[in-house]
Amino acid sequence: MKTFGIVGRSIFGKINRLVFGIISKLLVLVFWIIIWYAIYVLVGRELYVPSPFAVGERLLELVVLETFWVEVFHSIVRVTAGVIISMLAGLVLGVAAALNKAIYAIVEPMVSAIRVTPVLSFIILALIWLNSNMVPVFICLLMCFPIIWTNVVGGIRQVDMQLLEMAKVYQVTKPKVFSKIYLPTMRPYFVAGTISALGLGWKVSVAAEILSYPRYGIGSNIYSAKAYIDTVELFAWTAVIIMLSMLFEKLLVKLLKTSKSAAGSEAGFDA
Amino acid sequence: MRPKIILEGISKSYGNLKVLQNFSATFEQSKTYVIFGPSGCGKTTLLRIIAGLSNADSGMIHGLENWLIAYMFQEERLLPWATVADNIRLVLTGTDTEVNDVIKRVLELVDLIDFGDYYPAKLSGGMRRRVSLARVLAYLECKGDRLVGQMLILDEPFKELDLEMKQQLIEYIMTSRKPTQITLLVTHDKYEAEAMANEIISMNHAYNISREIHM
Repeated sequence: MKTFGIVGRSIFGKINRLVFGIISKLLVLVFWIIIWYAIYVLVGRELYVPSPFAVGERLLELVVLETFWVEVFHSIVRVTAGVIISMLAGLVLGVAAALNKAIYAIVEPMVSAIRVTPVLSFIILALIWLNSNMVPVFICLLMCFPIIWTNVVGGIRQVDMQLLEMAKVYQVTKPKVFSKIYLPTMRPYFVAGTISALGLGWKVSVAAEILSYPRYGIGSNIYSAKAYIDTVELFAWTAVIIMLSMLFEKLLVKLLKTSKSAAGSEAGFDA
Repeated sequence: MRPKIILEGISKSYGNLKVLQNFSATFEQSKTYVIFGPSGCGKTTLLRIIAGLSNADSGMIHGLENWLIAYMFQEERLLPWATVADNIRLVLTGTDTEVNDVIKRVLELVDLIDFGDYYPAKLSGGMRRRVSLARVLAYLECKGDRLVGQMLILDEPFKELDLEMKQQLIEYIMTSRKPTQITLLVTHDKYEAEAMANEIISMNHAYNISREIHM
């Protein structure tokens, strides 16, 4: 049947694309592992550059331990908390600053100051102010908030003046103008900002964990690896961070896509 | 006596460029006025001043208090992230059933009933124009009765539409006119002007205005 033919072709096309995507990604991974291995052979000392096989083996040893998951869980909670608070603060203060010049004048210098201050200064300050569990959350918030805030302000300012004029003529209420014009305009900027912030969030949270050394956390393990000059362990935990960061980015993109399609279906016409 | 809208000595400049000079006109309810003239002679500026989107440098508008202005812009001005139905829904108020009924009616009128859940980017230029026209007609229908009068302003509404659709819409606009409504139409098309006008106001770059009465 013709219809079946079209459906069948489209399913096969999708499967082909999926398989091709996986194979090409695996090939890229293999390429970089070969480069890593070549550097390992060239350097010739495990202390400086461990072999990818040793790191892989250590990773396998780690993932079967219950404590590994406890450490990872604690880091995930800290990063998630830091990014979520940044998203909320960035959204609320970003919208307020974009729509109100006085709020912008107050918040902008603070954001600029945070942006240029070295993260270590904040970490040391946070070590004095907060307990070791809260330091990574606070640092994550401080580093992620400016990115999201800047994107939200930029996004709101991109609003199409012709649409606002149309809304004015048609006497569209302010809440509707905000939710139907401002928010959708700002949305892609907010999403891009959140994705960038998430990547940075992992980096700075783990850095803060290394210095604040909480009881559980990936950073604490990296600090221990440094103390025992265990480069293999250091690489293994670093690989965990990279994988988690990528996984979270993918999850976030998926989540935001789902929320977009939910908004789209809500907008469906039912007449 | 029916209320009239009186424009008195309206002038407007953008920097050194004079667009309108001492424009005066009287608009009466239940009539359609066609504004004719070359590009850049101030037609859209005049509409924007009437709609309250621009301020005149001098002159007065009398009688527009408590009037509903339903303005179809020269550009479609549709939300790209909202469906056709939601673009119309944005400007309406009322219960879901009332709003959906109005949307259905206007989409049937502009022959887009099957495109309610399409996004503007998926439509042709002519279809987007029809959505914009459907939106202004829905707004007029939904809110028009609550006020002293209604001013329907149409800035080149039938651009890119085929003759059959144009005729159908002109007929609808003419037959659905409320007795308290004033219609202002900007067009470059003689056929549209003659089919709709009670009075044609011709403007030119020399700020001369001539009037031609049609009955």
